[in-house]
Amino acid sequence: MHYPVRKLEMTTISIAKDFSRYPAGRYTSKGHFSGERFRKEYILPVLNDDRELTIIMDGTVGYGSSFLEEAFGGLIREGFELEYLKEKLKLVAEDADFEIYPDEAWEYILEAEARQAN
Amino acid sequence: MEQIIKKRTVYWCRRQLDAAKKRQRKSRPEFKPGFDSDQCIRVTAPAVLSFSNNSAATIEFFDKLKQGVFTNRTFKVRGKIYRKRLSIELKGIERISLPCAVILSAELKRWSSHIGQVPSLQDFVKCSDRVKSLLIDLGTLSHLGISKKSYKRDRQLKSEEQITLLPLTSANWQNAKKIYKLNEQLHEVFSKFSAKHFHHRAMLEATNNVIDHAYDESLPLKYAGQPGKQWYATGSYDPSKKALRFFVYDQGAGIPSSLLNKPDWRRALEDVLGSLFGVQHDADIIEAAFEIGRSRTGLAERGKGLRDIRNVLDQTGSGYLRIISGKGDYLETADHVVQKRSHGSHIGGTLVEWSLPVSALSGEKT
Repeated sequence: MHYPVRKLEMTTISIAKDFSRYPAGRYTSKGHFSGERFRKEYILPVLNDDRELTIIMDGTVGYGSSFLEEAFGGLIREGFELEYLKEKLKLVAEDADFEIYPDEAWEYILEAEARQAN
Repeated sequence: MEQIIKKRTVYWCRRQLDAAKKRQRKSRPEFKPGFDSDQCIRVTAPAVLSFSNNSAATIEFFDKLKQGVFTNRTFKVRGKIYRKRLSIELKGIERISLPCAVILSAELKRWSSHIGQVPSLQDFVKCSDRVKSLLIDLGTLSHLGISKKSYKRDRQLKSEEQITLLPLTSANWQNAKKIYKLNEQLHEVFSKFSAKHFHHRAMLEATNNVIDHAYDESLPLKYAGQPGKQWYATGSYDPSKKALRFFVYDQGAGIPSSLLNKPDWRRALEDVLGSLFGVQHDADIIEAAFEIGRSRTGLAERGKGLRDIRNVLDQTGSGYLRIISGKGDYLETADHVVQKRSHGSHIGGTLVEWSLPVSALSGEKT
């Protein structure tokens, strides 16, 4: 009997190693390492494939709120549901300086959800 | 035969005429605009170049500088069109504040990068040591092609008392690497300085605001059609005051104009300020914008950036944040004391300044 193969592969992306040590800004038209580009080129291909995604946030020079809001809050605007993101997306930071960023990114996701509900 | 002789004679005559014209051209040197009033626009800096102590004359000086650069200044000589020279006299400056040095340097940098004609700094060697020192530090003279030989440090101050300004960095896109490098340079100057995330973030968001909002095409700029839609940033270390100062400058429409141009922000500002009718004070709008950024997360975009810019004061618990934008001049200290004033005229952009004691960004105690 042939069963369809379900993709269970988990993908891990390190923003510093795979994207840039210097992420900044909201839109790609205004910066090379923008939140929009990270979302579209790194997050969406994995989530659209129904795979789990772990994003390591350590190692960059820091994040501006505009990058985080666009990269993560933008997922709600792309049409993903909060429950789906909670299931598939894992944001991690081990360095003490970076501990605030996963929580902040989730805050932007929740805010975007609340804005969309209104 | 006769025709051949005639043709050769005409040919010989033409050659003689061309040679005579060539000789005449050589004997008369090519025309270059001089420093007479009809061929040169002269802009003289006031004795005190400071927004705090001589705001009207300071803004007038920067206005004249931009008018000279961005308005038509052509004239005709012998049928040819030339551009008037622009000459800046800085030797009369007795006192110059750091924000003004930053703005002057940014204007000259924009000028040399985008207008293509290097302005002449009249009698630069006669400028005060402080003016020379600050402009050299900011990298302005290398843009203008002035040699460092004329540079002398302020002889009245010992080297450990000298203010050091970092070379002005700029970009027309969001560039975290440049901000990071600026902080590295400051670390080289003052080894105890270590950049913190909140500080990097504040500077990053200030530059993001420039790129996202300051040069919005729907906003009227003070000088239309001006090139170089950039942000400029630098930092300074003052050993005598044990203070670090960071600056982000742009030549855009100003924070108050750009906020009032966005319907959701306009409504939010009206809620805080009452009716905007009769509000003349740009500093009130800046203060209200911080208040909105602090209390409301529902507003998309700008609010979070402003919160990050101000967050440095909360994180360090010391120093001050000053924003000069449009006609407004807003200063807030870490203990929430606010000073606001209004300038007589739009400064032609926005300057964000953070001033922090060195203890805030290092282990050193003041």
